[in-house]
Amino acid sequence: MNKHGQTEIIGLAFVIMLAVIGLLFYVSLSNNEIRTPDIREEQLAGSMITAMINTDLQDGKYIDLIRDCAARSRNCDMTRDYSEQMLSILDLYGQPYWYRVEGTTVEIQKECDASKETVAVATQQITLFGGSEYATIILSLCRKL
Amino acid sequence: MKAQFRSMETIVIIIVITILFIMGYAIYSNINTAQLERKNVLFEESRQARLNNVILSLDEFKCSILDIEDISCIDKFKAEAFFEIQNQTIYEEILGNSVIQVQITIPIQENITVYNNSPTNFTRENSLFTPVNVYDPATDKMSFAILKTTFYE
Repeated sequence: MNKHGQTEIIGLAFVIMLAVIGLLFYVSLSNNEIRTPDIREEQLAGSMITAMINTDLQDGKYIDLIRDCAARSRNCDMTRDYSEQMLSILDLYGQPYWYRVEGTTVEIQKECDASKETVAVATQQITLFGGSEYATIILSLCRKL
Repeated sequence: MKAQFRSMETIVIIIVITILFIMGYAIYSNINTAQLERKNVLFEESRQARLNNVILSLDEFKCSILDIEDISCIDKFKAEAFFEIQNQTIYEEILGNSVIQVQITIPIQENITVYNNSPTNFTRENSLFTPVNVYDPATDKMSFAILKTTFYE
């Protein structure tokens, strides 16, 4: 092999080495990439629902309003208004959310629905007046854009 | 002529490799800085969340009624009384430079400042909002409130 050929091979080896270093670099960086933890959102969603269902309103409990709406389809508008008022804390974080009480018309959506990526979901089952039926409250928090 | 061309070729290759190295280093530095900034934000957030949990677990604020151990509940009387305490220096170690406020929103709006230790000079302030219940022993009612904790650095 002549000297020119040797130089070419060394050059090629150098390029391959650079490519491998670049690739290793990329892999190590992508492994270290930090994902935003969802723990905070999970905690927020959980404490939100807990605080809501324990709230006493001026004329009764919030949980009773939900029961009334789920079992008798009464006071659903009032339930939605109170829910919206309490959920407004999530606007302070710019947090998209989807709050609903299954089987009722109570549903509040703020830039969040089933098509979006969910970061936290909190659910709470409450017994209705008879004791045998349940209503499920679901609060989903979507990833901020 | 041929020798001149060879040396020119070598110089060009060296320049190209140097440029590649500089570009690589610049990209690496940018990524590294962005990651450090993100790490810093995450660290701050977790520090705040931890402090928030400490606040909610302090017997000085916590509701003392039975069967609500799991709820984030603040006793209204305790919170109001805490602010009246003149010597808050013992809490500085735990709560640091922060302002803790309870904003009752439902059923009636009311603001309670629990702790106020805001420094005159600070570089950064950050607020954390947590939904909580406030228990009023006089009426035996639970209100919906926002625990607003502002941290200063």
